[in-house]
Amino acid sequence: MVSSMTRFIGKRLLLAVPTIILVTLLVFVLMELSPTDPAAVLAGDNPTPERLAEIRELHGFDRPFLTRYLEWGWNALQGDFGVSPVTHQSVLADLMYRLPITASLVVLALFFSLVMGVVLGTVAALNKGGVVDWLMNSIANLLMAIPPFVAAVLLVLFLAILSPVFPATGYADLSTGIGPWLQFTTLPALSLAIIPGALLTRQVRGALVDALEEDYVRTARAKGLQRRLIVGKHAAKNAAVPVVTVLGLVITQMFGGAVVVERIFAIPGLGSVSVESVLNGDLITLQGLVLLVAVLVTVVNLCVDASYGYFNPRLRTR
Amino acid sequence: MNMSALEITAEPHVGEVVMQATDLTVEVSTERGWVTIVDSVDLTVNRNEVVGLVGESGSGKTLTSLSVMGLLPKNARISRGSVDLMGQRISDMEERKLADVRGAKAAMIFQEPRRCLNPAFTVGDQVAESLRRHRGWSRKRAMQHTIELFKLVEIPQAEHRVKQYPHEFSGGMCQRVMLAMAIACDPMLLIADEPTTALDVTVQRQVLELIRRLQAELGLGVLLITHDLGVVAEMCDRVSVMYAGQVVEEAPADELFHNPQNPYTSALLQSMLEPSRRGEPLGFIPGLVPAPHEFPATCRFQDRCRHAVEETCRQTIPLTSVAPGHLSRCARAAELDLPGVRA
Amino acid sequence: MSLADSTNLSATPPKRRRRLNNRVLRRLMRNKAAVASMVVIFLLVVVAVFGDLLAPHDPNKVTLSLRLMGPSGDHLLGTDELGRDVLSRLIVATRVDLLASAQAVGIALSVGVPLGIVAGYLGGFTDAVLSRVIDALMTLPPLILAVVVVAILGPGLRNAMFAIAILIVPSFYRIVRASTQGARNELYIESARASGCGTWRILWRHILPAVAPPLLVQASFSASVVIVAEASLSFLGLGARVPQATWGLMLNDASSNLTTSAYLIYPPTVMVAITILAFSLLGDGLRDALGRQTTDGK
Repeated sequence: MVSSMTRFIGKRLLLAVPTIILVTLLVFVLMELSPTDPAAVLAGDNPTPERLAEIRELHGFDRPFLTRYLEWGWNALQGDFGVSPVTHQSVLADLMYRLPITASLVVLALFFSLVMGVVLGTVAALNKGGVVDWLMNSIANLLMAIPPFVAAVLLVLFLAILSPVFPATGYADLSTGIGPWLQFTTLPALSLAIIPGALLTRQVRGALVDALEEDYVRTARAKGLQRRLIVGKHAAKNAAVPVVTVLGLVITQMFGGAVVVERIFAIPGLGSVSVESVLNGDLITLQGLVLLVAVLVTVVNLCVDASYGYFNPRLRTR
Repeated sequence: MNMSALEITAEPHVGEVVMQATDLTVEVSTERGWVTIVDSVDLTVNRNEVVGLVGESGSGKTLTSLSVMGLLPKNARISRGSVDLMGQRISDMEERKLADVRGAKAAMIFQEPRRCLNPAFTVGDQVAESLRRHRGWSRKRAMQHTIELFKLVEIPQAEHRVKQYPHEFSGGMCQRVMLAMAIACDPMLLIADEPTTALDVTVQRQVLELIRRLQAELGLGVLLITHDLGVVAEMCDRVSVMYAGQVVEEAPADELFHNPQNPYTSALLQSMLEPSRRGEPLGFIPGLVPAPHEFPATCRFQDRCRHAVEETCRQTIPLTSVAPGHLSRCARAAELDLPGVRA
Repeated sequence: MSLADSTNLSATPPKRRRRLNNRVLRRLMRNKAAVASMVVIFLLVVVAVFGDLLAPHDPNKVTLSLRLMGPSGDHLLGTDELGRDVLSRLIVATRVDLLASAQAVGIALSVGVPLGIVAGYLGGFTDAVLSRVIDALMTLPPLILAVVVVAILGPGLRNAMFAIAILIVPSFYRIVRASTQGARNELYIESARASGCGTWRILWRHILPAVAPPLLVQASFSASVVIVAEASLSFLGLGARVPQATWGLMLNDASSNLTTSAYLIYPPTVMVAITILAFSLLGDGLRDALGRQTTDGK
């Protein structure tokens, strides 16, 4: 019974490996085609040709492309992502320090967006066709048009400057306690949660409306079940599948949104490091980041796939 | 639990009234406003009795049965008349109270049993849910009783099967689960809406026999909704025939089959006898059922009736008694000699 | 649609297409949100085209004596930290943003559509390789992919547009590939082949019309994605550079003066939100109006 699910996950995992390899290879190829000379970036202003050659040799830029890629890949497999030429730190160590920061931000954002999506979507579905439904739909449409960085600026204006409830920028690690962490993370997480929340509102509404029209809901009513149970148990578990499907997408988008939001709130996560690397021309860190994010996204999608088995028992057998 | 229970079909129907619908009128909201679909239906089901409600699709039989359970969809309403269950008026009961009655005093099974079970929960959980809701039993106790119920509806390996999901059951087995759910809280009334239409012929028979057996053992009143007169002949003590939202004939089953007093019933019986026509129940009768917003105030069957006569039929026809316990809505019932099924 | 209508449709194919378009247009016109969106987009285009005539001031004229002045009769939306007229910059930014979006969508279409047709029509190995590459692209969160591409190409509006084009190529590719696969198997392709048409002629005459409706819907959605991505990159300093005016840059300027001059953030915010809303509502409307045809393609 479990084995079929395990096999399903295993198959997905096997499919994911070439995809991840392809992503890193693509980025490597693009970097190769790049008009910017990585050695020139490292050499600083007005380098001598000797100095450039020296840097090329030091970092191995002069060796064949494939050799460099395979070497990088082999090292990465062993947990060595190289050393940043800008900060002279281990790329992996730097990324691992930043990963939990971004991850905790995304988790909070996910929580906000789920609460919003489930509440607004359920209210809309239960009032299908009514004024409330229309209102919820309009709110969702409007919120869809507020990208994270706009939301961030507006939230800072209203909740940090005009009425100083939260600090405008900065970060406190979870290790300093949940209170300070929440203080600094609430606004960024809200900024990230708005579009996904609107998306989930639509999705929850649609899935719930469909589920509530199913015959088993009529059976549940005929049984005399209370509305609370009919919606919260019978319809909800079936409606969860299409909702969970978009969660993978939503989480991926949040990691993207973190790029801007972390910059605005000065949060030292993966998003910040991506922008800094671009501005510093630190392609090695960027390369490591791509690998890490690709793996993260794959893992998230696997978790989403695995959850189907819980919501839809038909997948568990056969 | 022996099969001899099946033979008590001819038992005289004594006993109290389980369900009574009086002047039941149901309207549905459409683009043309509220349209009457079920028109002044009187219907009674007694304890220990199977009543058939027969009609084509669109005759209003399903809406009638749903209003008996208080399960009308949002766009439908009871505009006149009443429904009483065990002497309790339910047609004007608020939803919260109604939910206490549903599943406890009256239960219902439907046409496509597989779609009626929730794919996301085990069948045992869905049956036990009813017991936990109405009896307030613990999960464990309800599940134990569910296993007993599964045995009662003849699901083999009950202990094992309760833990399975609907997709692991055949259509016939799903209908048995639905029956187990329906009788879980010892209701007095069972409404079966086309319970075997979606099933294979052999399975159909088994499910019908099971319903008949449960009815006899538990002393249920059963309201059986069907378009299949073969099923009616096998199952029912009394029959009401509906056409275009009205009851057009009501009689004990034998009487109805042998001596129909309404041209529509007679035509239905003839179409049932025509072997090639089986399966397309009313291909035999030319014409179409009028659309609900075009229901005439006169006889609604006259355009398709081969016995229709201008003056006589072009008026409002009441449901009148033609013999003791036999009602017909036909202006010419007395003068016509309609063919039935020969004994 | 009446019965007579449908028989007429199948009898005369050329007429059918025109009727189809009429019906789609009529359905689209009945959708209030879609009509409003089209009006908004039309107005935006007018502003973009006639920006120079509409702008009350020189958008790049720095007047330090007028810095951070709130809205007034002369400067309806106030001035920014360099004393430039916000309204004029907003108008000029509209042109830059719309043009950049059109570029990005155009590039993405010209890459995604041929690739999708090739993959869908040829199938087999070509399809497998192309689809894997597209999957790989979609693995990365859009903004991170854009940032990486900008890192490689170097900052600047033009490069940002290339980066953003890469983001939206996969969605076009997938739609076109699926539609082509569907259309390829349909009877009319078979008959076209029988009558001796060349492969490219078949593709051009038959597959493109089948692909066009879902593509149109996706292009509308993509336009809003592009606006967001462009503004995000500019905001980060990876897209347009000073003294160019774009909504993203204006938001960046505004956010650094948030404490003192909050009025600065509203104009670009409103423009970004309205534009995104218009394109996504138009996309919704088009999808609903095209109805069956669109879902067929997927």
